[in-house]
Amino acid sequence: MKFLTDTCFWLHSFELFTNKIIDIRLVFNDFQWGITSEIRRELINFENEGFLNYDNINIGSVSDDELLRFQKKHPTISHFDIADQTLIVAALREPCVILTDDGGLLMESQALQIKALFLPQFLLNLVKEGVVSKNTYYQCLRYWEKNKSYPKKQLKIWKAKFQIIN
Amino acid sequence: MNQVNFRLKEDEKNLLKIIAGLQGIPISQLAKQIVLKEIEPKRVDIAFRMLKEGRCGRKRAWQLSGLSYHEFMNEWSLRNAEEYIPDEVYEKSLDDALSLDLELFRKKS
Repeated sequence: MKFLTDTCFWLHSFELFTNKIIDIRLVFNDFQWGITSEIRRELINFENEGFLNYDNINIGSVSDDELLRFQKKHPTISHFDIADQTLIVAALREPCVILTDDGGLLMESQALQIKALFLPQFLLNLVKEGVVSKNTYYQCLRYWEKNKSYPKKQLKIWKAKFQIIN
Repeated sequence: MNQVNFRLKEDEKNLLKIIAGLQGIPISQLAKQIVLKEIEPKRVDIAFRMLKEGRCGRKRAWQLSGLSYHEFMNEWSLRNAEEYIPDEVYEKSLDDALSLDLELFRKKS
Protein backbone atom coordinates (compact mmCIF):
# COMPACT_ATOMS: atom_id res chain seq x y z
CA MET A 1 0.00 0.00 0.00
CA LYS A 2 1.04 3.57 -0.43
CA PHE A 3 0.15 7.07 0.64
CA LEU A 4 -1.12 9.52 -1.93
CA THR A 5 -0.57 13.14 -0.99
CA ASP A 6 -2.35 16.24 -2.21
CA THR A 7 -1.21 19.82 -2.77
CA CYS A 8 -2.65 21.21 0.48
CA PHE A 9 -0.90 18.48 2.47
CA TRP A 10 2.50 19.58 1.15
CA LEU A 11 1.80 23.31 1.44
CA HIS A 12 0.81 22.80 5.07
CA SER A 13 3.92 20.64 5.59
CA PHE A 14 5.99 23.46 4.15
CA GLU A 15 4.44 25.86 6.67
CA LEU A 16 5.38 23.51 9.52
CA PHE A 17 8.89 23.25 8.10
CA THR A 18 9.40 27.01 7.76
CA ASN A 19 8.17 27.41 11.33
CA LYS A 20 10.90 24.95 12.39
CA ILE A 21 8.44 22.44 13.82
CA ILE A 22 8.88 19.34 11.67
CA ASP A 23 10.40 18.30 8.35
CA ILE A 24 7.82 15.76 7.19
CA ARG A 25 9.88 14.89 4.11
CA LEU A 26 12.21 12.84 6.33
CA VAL A 27 9.30 10.72 7.57
CA PHE A 28 8.43 9.74 4.02
CA ASN A 29 11.90 8.30 3.29
CA ASP A 30 10.77 4.97 4.79
CA PHE A 31 7.33 4.77 3.21
CA GLN A 32 5.82 4.11 -0.18
CA TRP A 33 4.09 7.26 -1.30
CA GLY A 34 3.37 9.30 -4.35
CA ILE A 35 1.50 12.03 -6.14
CA THR A 36 0.02 12.29 -9.62
CA SER A 37 1.49 14.29 -12.46
CA GLU A 38 -1.35 16.82 -12.10
CA ILE A 39 -0.55 17.27 -8.41
CA ARG A 40 3.11 17.73 -9.35
CA ARG A 41 2.09 20.45 -11.79
CA GLU A 42 0.16 22.25 -9.04
CA LEU A 43 2.98 21.89 -6.56
CA ILE A 44 5.48 23.29 -9.06
CA ASN A 45 3.19 26.31 -9.47
CA PHE A 46 2.59 26.92 -5.77
CA GLU A 47 5.30 25.30 -3.75
CA ASN A 48 8.24 27.34 -2.52
CA GLU A 49 12.00 26.98 -2.77
CA GLY A 50 12.14 23.43 -4.13
CA PHE A 51 10.77 21.84 -0.96
CA LEU A 52 10.13 18.61 -2.86
CA ASN A 53 12.58 16.78 -5.10
CA TYR A 54 10.44 15.31 -7.85
CA ASP A 55 13.22 12.98 -9.04
CA ASN A 56 12.67 10.83 -5.93
CA ILE A 57 8.89 10.82 -5.88
CA ASN A 58 6.63 8.13 -7.29
CA ILE A 59 4.53 10.05 -9.79
CA GLY A 60 1.50 8.28 -11.20
CA SER A 61 -0.36 9.28 -14.29
CA VAL A 62 -4.04 9.16 -15.13
CA SER A 63 -4.99 9.27 -18.81
CA ASP A 64 -7.82 11.45 -20.10
CA ASP A 65 -9.78 8.31 -21.05
CA GLU A 66 -9.39 6.84 -17.59
CA LEU A 67 -10.44 10.11 -15.99
CA LEU A 68 -13.51 10.29 -18.21
CA ARG A 69 -14.42 6.71 -17.32
CA PHE A 70 -14.21 7.42 -13.58
CA GLN A 71 -16.13 10.70 -13.98
CA LYS A 72 -18.96 8.75 -15.59
CA LYS A 73 -18.90 6.11 -12.87
CA HIS A 74 -18.51 8.62 -10.00
CA PRO A 75 -20.00 11.94 -11.24
CA THR A 76 -19.37 13.72 -7.92
CA ILE A 77 -15.61 13.75 -8.51
CA SER A 78 -16.18 16.26 -11.32
CA HIS A 79 -16.74 18.94 -8.67
CA PHE A 80 -13.04 18.80 -7.85
CA ASP A 81 -10.19 20.27 -9.83
CA ILE A 82 -8.31 17.98 -12.19
CA ALA A 83 -5.40 17.45 -9.79
CA ASP A 84 -7.68 16.16 -7.02
CA GLN A 85 -9.69 14.10 -9.49
CA THR A 86 -6.53 12.29 -10.62
CA LEU A 87 -5.65 11.62 -6.98
CA ILE A 88 -9.08 10.09 -6.37
CA VAL A 89 -8.81 7.96 -9.52
CA ALA A 90 -5.36 6.74 -8.50
CA ALA A 91 -6.72 5.81 -5.05
CA LEU A 92 -9.68 3.98 -6.57
CA ARG A 93 -7.58 1.78 -8.83
CA GLU A 94 -5.13 0.51 -6.18
CA PRO A 95 -5.17 0.36 -2.37
CA CYS A 96 -4.03 3.74 -1.09
CA VAL A 97 -4.56 6.15 1.76
CA ILE A 98 -4.95 9.80 0.83
CA LEU A 99 -3.20 12.37 3.00
CA THR A 100 -4.77 15.78 2.64
CA ASP A 101 -5.52 19.09 4.28
CA ASP A 102 -8.67 19.74 2.32
CA GLY A 103 -12.01 18.83 3.89
CA GLY A 104 -13.73 18.59 0.53
CA LEU A 105 -11.33 15.93 -0.69
CA LEU A 106 -11.51 14.10 2.64
CA MET A 107 -15.31 13.91 2.53
CA GLU A 108 -15.41 12.81 -1.10
CA SER A 109 -12.78 10.14 -0.41
CA GLN A 110 -14.80 8.75 2.48
CA ALA A 111 -17.92 8.72 0.35
CA LEU A 112 -16.02 6.61 -2.20
CA GLN A 113 -14.72 4.23 0.51
CA ILE A 114 -11.17 5.55 0.18
CA LYS A 115 -9.32 6.01 3.45
CA ALA A 116 -8.26 9.64 3.81
CA LEU A 117 -6.56 11.38 6.71
CA PHE A 118 -5.90 14.96 7.69
CA LEU A 119 -2.27 15.83 8.33
CA PRO A 120 -2.75 16.09 12.15
CA GLN A 121 -4.42 12.67 12.25
CA PHE A 122 -1.63 11.10 10.19
CA LEU A 123 0.95 12.66 12.51
CA LEU A 124 -0.93 11.27 15.49
CA ASN A 125 -0.41 7.77 14.08
CA LEU A 126 3.27 8.55 13.59
CA VAL A 127 3.52 9.58 17.24
CA LYS A 128 1.73 6.37 18.29
CA GLU A 129 4.23 4.34 16.25
CA GLY A 130 7.20 6.26 17.61
CA VAL A 131 8.16 7.76 14.24
CA VAL A 132 7.49 11.33 15.40
CA SER A 133 8.27 12.55 18.91
CA LYS A 134 5.60 13.66 21.34
CA ASN A 135 7.38 16.97 21.73
CA THR A 136 7.14 17.61 17.98
CA TYR A 137 3.44 16.80 17.94
CA TYR A 138 2.90 19.07 20.92
CA GLN A 139 4.56 21.91 18.99
CA CYS A 140 2.30 21.15 16.02
CA LEU A 141 -0.76 21.33 18.26
CA ARG A 142 0.35 24.69 19.62
CA TYR A 143 0.91 25.96 16.07
CA TRP A 144 -2.55 24.80 14.94
CA GLU A 145 -4.18 26.28 18.03
CA LYS A 146 -2.40 29.60 17.58
CA ASN A 147 -3.28 29.78 13.88
CA LYS A 148 -6.78 28.36 14.31
CA SER A 149 -5.97 25.93 11.51
CA TYR A 150 -8.69 23.48 12.59
CA PRO A 151 -11.88 23.69 14.65
CA LYS A 152 -11.28 23.96 18.42
CA LYS A 153 -13.40 20.88 19.01
CA GLN A 154 -11.21 18.72 16.76
CA LEU A 155 -7.99 20.12 18.20
CA LYS A 156 -9.28 19.22 21.65
CA ILE A 157 -10.06 15.67 20.51
CA TRP A 158 -6.63 15.23 18.87
CA LYS A 159 -4.97 16.62 21.99
CA ALA A 160 -6.87 14.17 24.20
CA LYS A 161 -5.88 11.23 21.95
CA PHE A 162 -2.30 12.47 21.93
CA GLN A 163 -2.17 12.67 25.71
CA ILE A 164 -3.14 9.04 26.17
CA ILE A 165 -0.42 7.78 23.83
CA ASN A 166 2.30 6.16 25.93
CA MET B 1 -7.95 29.36 -22.90
CA ASN B 2 -11.71 29.62 -22.50
CA GLN B 3 -14.10 32.08 -24.02
CA VAL B 4 -16.85 34.17 -22.41
CA ASN B 5 -19.46 35.80 -24.63
CA PHE B 6 -21.77 38.60 -23.62
CA ARG B 7 -24.11 41.01 -25.39
CA LEU B 8 -23.62 44.77 -25.54
CA LYS B 9 -25.76 47.60 -26.88
CA GLU B 10 -24.35 49.45 -29.88
CA ASP B 11 -23.36 52.53 -27.84
CA GLU B 12 -21.72 50.36 -25.15
CA LYS B 13 -19.67 48.57 -27.78
CA ASN B 14 -18.67 51.88 -29.35
CA LEU B 15 -17.54 53.16 -25.96
CA LEU B 16 -15.38 50.07 -25.42
CA LYS B 17 -14.04 50.42 -28.97
CA ILE B 18 -12.94 54.00 -28.31
CA ILE B 19 -11.27 53.19 -24.96
CA ALA B 20 -9.59 50.06 -26.35
CA GLY B 21 -8.40 52.09 -29.35
CA LEU B 22 -6.89 54.72 -27.06
CA GLN B 23 -5.02 52.00 -25.17
CA GLY B 24 -4.01 50.23 -28.36
CA ILE B 25 -5.53 46.88 -27.31
CA PRO B 26 -8.39 44.75 -28.63
CA ILE B 27 -11.87 45.21 -27.10
CA SER B 28 -11.75 41.65 -25.72
CA GLN B 29 -8.52 42.36 -23.85
CA LEU B 30 -9.94 45.57 -22.39
CA ALA B 31 -13.11 43.77 -21.28
CA LYS B 32 -11.02 41.02 -19.66
CA GLN B 33 -8.88 43.57 -17.80
CA ILE B 34 -11.94 45.42 -16.51
CA VAL B 35 -13.72 42.26 -15.32
CA LEU B 36 -10.64 40.90 -13.53
CA LYS B 37 -9.89 44.28 -11.92
CA GLU B 38 -13.48 44.50 -10.70
CA ILE B 39 -13.53 41.06 -9.04
CA GLU B 40 -9.98 41.17 -7.63
CA PRO B 41 -10.81 42.95 -4.33
CA LYS B 42 -13.88 40.76 -3.83
CA ARG B 43 -12.20 37.39 -4.29
CA VAL B 44 -11.05 36.91 -0.71
CA ASP B 45 -14.46 37.77 0.77
CA ILE B 46 -16.24 35.53 -1.72
CA ALA B 47 -13.87 32.65 -0.97
CA PHE B 48 -14.41 32.83 2.79
CA ARG B 49 -18.16 33.33 2.40
CA MET B 50 -18.40 30.17 0.27
CA LEU B 51 -16.29 28.30 2.81
CA LYS B 52 -18.52 29.45 5.68
CA GLU B 53 -21.64 28.43 3.78
CA GLY B 54 -20.18 24.97 3.19
CA ARG B 55 -20.16 25.52 -0.55
CA CYS B 56 -16.48 24.70 -0.92
CA GLY B 57 -13.55 23.21 0.96
CA ARG B 58 -10.24 24.69 1.97
CA LYS B 59 -8.49 24.18 -1.35
CA ARG B 60 -11.27 25.61 -3.51
CA ALA B 61 -11.54 28.62 -1.19
CA TRP B 62 -7.80 29.16 -1.40
CA GLN B 63 -7.87 29.03 -5.19
CA LEU B 64 -10.84 31.43 -5.32
CA SER B 65 -9.09 33.88 -3.00
CA GLY B 66 -6.19 34.38 -5.41
CA LEU B 67 -3.82 34.56 -2.41
CA SER B 68 -0.69 32.50 -1.86
CA TYR B 69 -1.30 29.56 0.50
CA HIS B 70 0.59 31.35 3.28
CA GLU B 71 -1.45 34.54 2.83
CA PHE B 72 -4.65 32.51 2.66
CA MET B 73 -3.90 30.73 5.93
CA ASN B 74 -3.09 34.06 7.61
CA GLU B 75 -6.45 35.35 6.42
CA TRP B 76 -8.02 32.09 7.62
CA SER B 77 -6.63 32.67 11.07
CA LEU B 78 -7.72 36.34 11.20
CA ARG B 79 -11.25 35.47 10.13
CA ASN B 80 -11.58 32.43 12.45
CA ALA B 81 -12.48 30.43 9.35
CA GLU B 82 -13.63 26.83 9.50
CA GLU B 83 -14.43 24.24 6.87
CA TYR B 84 -17.84 22.67 7.05
CA ILE B 85 -17.07 19.04 7.88
CA PRO B 86 -19.52 16.83 9.80
CA ASP B 87 -18.19 15.43 13.09
CA GLU B 88 -18.66 11.86 11.88
CA VAL B 89 -16.27 12.51 8.98
CA TYR B 90 -13.61 13.69 11.44
CA GLU B 91 -14.34 10.68 13.67
CA LYS B 92 -14.04 8.18 10.81
CA SER B 93 -10.74 9.60 9.58
CA LEU B 94 -9.37 9.71 13.12
CA ASP B 95 -10.33 6.06 13.65
CA ASP B 96 -8.70 5.21 10.32
CA ALA B 97 -5.57 7.11 11.31
CA LEU B 98 -5.21 5.43 14.69
CA SER B 99 -5.83 1.95 13.31
CA LEU B 100 -3.48 2.38 10.35
CA ASP B 101 -0.77 -0.28 10.15
CA LEU B 102 2.32 1.63 9.04
CA GLU B 103 4.14 -1.61 8.20
CA LEU B 104 1.92 -1.98 5.13
CA PHE B 105 3.40 1.23 3.75
CA ARG B 106 7.08 0.53 4.47
CA LYS B 107 9.41 0.47 1.46
CA LYS B 108 10.49 -3.03 0.59
CA SER B 109 14.25 -3.36 0.93
